[in-house]
Amino acid sequence: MNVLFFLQLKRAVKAVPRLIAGAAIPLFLAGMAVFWAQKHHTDTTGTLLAPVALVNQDTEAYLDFIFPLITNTDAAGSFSFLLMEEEEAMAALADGTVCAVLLLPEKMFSGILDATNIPARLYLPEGTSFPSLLLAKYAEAGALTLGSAQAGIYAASDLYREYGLSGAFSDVSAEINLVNLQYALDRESAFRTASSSATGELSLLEYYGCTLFLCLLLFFGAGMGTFLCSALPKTLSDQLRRNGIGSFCMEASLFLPLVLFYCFAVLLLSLGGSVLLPELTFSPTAVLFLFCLVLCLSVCTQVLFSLFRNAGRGFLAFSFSGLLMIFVAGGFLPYAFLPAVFDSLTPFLPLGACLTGLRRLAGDALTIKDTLLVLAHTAALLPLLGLFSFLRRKGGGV
Amino acid sequence: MLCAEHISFSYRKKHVLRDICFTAKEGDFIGIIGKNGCGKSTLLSVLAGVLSPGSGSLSYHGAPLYSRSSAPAKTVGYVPQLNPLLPELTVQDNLKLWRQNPASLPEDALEKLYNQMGLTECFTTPVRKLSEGMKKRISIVSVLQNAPKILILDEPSAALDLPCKEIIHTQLLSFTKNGGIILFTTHEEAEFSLCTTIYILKDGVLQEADVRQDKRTLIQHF
Repeated sequence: MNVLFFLQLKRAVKAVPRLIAGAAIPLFLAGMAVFWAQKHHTDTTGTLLAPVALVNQDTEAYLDFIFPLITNTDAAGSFSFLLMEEEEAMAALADGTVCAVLLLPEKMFSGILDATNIPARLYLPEGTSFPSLLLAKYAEAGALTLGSAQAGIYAASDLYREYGLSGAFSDVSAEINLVNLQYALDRESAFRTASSSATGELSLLEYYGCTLFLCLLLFFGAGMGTFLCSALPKTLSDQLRRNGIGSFCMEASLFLPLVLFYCFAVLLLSLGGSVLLPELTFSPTAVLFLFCLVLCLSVCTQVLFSLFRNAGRGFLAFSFSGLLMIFVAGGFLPYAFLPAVFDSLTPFLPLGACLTGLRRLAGDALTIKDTLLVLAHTAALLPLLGLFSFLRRKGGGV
Repeated sequence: MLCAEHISFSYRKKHVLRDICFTAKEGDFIGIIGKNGCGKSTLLSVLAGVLSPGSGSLSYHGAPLYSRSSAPAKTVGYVPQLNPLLPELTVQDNLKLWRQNPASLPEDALEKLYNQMGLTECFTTPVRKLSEGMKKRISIVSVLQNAPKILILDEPSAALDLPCKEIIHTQLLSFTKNGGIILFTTHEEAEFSLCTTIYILKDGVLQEADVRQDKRTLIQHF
C-alpha cells in the first residue's frame, strides 16, 4: 500500500514537466482573453461628450481665463463647450446640435465681485435629455460654489473697511478677485469625488490576479490527465484488487499526489502573489481556505478524468468546464458586463466559489463562510468520484 | 490440485461460460484455445478471481481458491493480455509495485529470475521506452516473483519475436517443472507442444482436445 502511494507520487513528480508544457498553450489563450477583457474594461468609447454652446457677452478680458477654466474642470469633462454667438447658439439648440446654451451676460464676472449678481442663463431644450439635466445640475452646484466664494470676497472687503484700509483694498482687489475666482470655479469642491469600478473594491491587478491564479491551477491540473488516466485502465486496477488493494485505496493513491501537487502549485503562486501584491496577508483563515481550494480542485480534476477515462478527452472537458465556470464567475469579464443570472449562479459552481473566495482573500474580506462553501462543493463531488470508480470497476467488458 | 466445478458466467444476459469443469494437477501445462470472442479471456478472468462466476466453485487442494480473508494473488498469479504496468515508472519500480511484502522468494532467487528474463540491464529504464516483448516479460516476472502455485496467462506470446518467446517458454516450463500449474490461452500453433492438456472453448463449453490430434485438426478451432 505504502509502495503504491510512493510510486504514484513519483509518477506525479515525473508528470510535472509535461504539465508545464501542456499548460503553455491554454495559458496563452487565457492570457489573450484576460488582455482583451482588460482592454474592454478600460474602453473609452462609451464616454458621454455632450455639446454645449457657450455664449459670452462679458468683457473679453476675462474670456481667455474663464473659458479654459470651465471647460477643463473634471465636472465639465462630460461636455464639450463650443464658443458661439447668441443667434448661432440658439439655432443649434433648436436643431438639436447642442444640448444646452450657457449664456454669460455682460458684466457677469464684475457683478460677482460687486454683488450685482447678474446671473448666467442656461437654456435647455424642451423635453430635456439626460445630458441637459446633468448640465443643469452642474450649473446649480456651480452657482452655489460661486455664492460661497462671493461671501468670502465680501467678508474680506468688510474686513479691509473695518480696519480703515478701503483704499488699499481697491489696489489689491484685482489680484484677490482672480484668486477668489479661481477657487470659486474649482467645482470639484462642490462634488464628492467617488470612483466606481466593475472590479469592486479590488484593483485590476488583484481582480485579474485571482483569475490568473485559478487559471494557472486549472491548466496545471488539466495536465495531470496522463498521470490520472494511465493509472486507470481496468487491467491495472484488476491486478491491484487481486493484490488486496481496493477501489478506495486506488482512488486515494491518485488523490493524495494530486493534493500534494496542487498544494505545491498554490504555495508557489501564493509566493508570486505576495511579491506582486505586498499588502496581501495570509491569515490562518486564508491558509485554511487555500487548502480547501486545493481539495476542491483535486476532487474536480479526479471526477472529470474518472468520468472521461481518457487523458485527451479529460483534458478538454476539464479545461473547458473550468474556463466556463471562471467566465460565469466574472473571471474574464466583470459582472457589470455579464447577464445578472451569472452572479446568482456563481456560488453553485465549484470554481465560481473558489474564485469568489480568492477575490475576498485579495480584498482582505475572507470569511469562514467562503471556506465552508468551497468545502461543501468538495463534499458534494466526492460521491461522484465513488460512483465513477464503481462504474469503472464494473465497466470494461469481458 | 486445482478443481473447477460447474462454472458459469453471463454478461448482459449472454451466456459466455456454461458449466465449465476441469481439474489440473501440479506440473500441468494447460492450453485453452478457441476462436476470438469465444470467452477465453473471460474464463481466465474468472479463474484468476477478477470476475466472480455466476455459479460454480474453484478449489485448490479442497479449499476454496478465493475467500474474503485472502487476496487472490497469493496463490494464483495472473498475467492479463494488456500489461498492467505504469509506463512512466522504471522496470524496478513496476516490479516493486507487484512484489508482495514480505517477499516470497529470497533475494538471490529474485536476482536469478530477473537475470533469466533479461531484465537486469533495463532495471532503471522507464517501461514506456521498452518493446512489447520486454513489457510482457516484466508482466510475467511481476507475477513469478511472488512464487504463485498457479499461473494464468492470457496470450503471453502474442505479437512477440522468436527469441522473446523462447525466453518466456523456458521460464514457463521451469515453473511447471517445479510443481506449478499453468493455464494459458493461445493462438500460437507452436505452443501446443508445451501443453500437457489442451482444452477447446466453443459456445461457452470447455472440451478437452486430444493432444495426439494433428495440429491441422486443432487449428480449425482457432
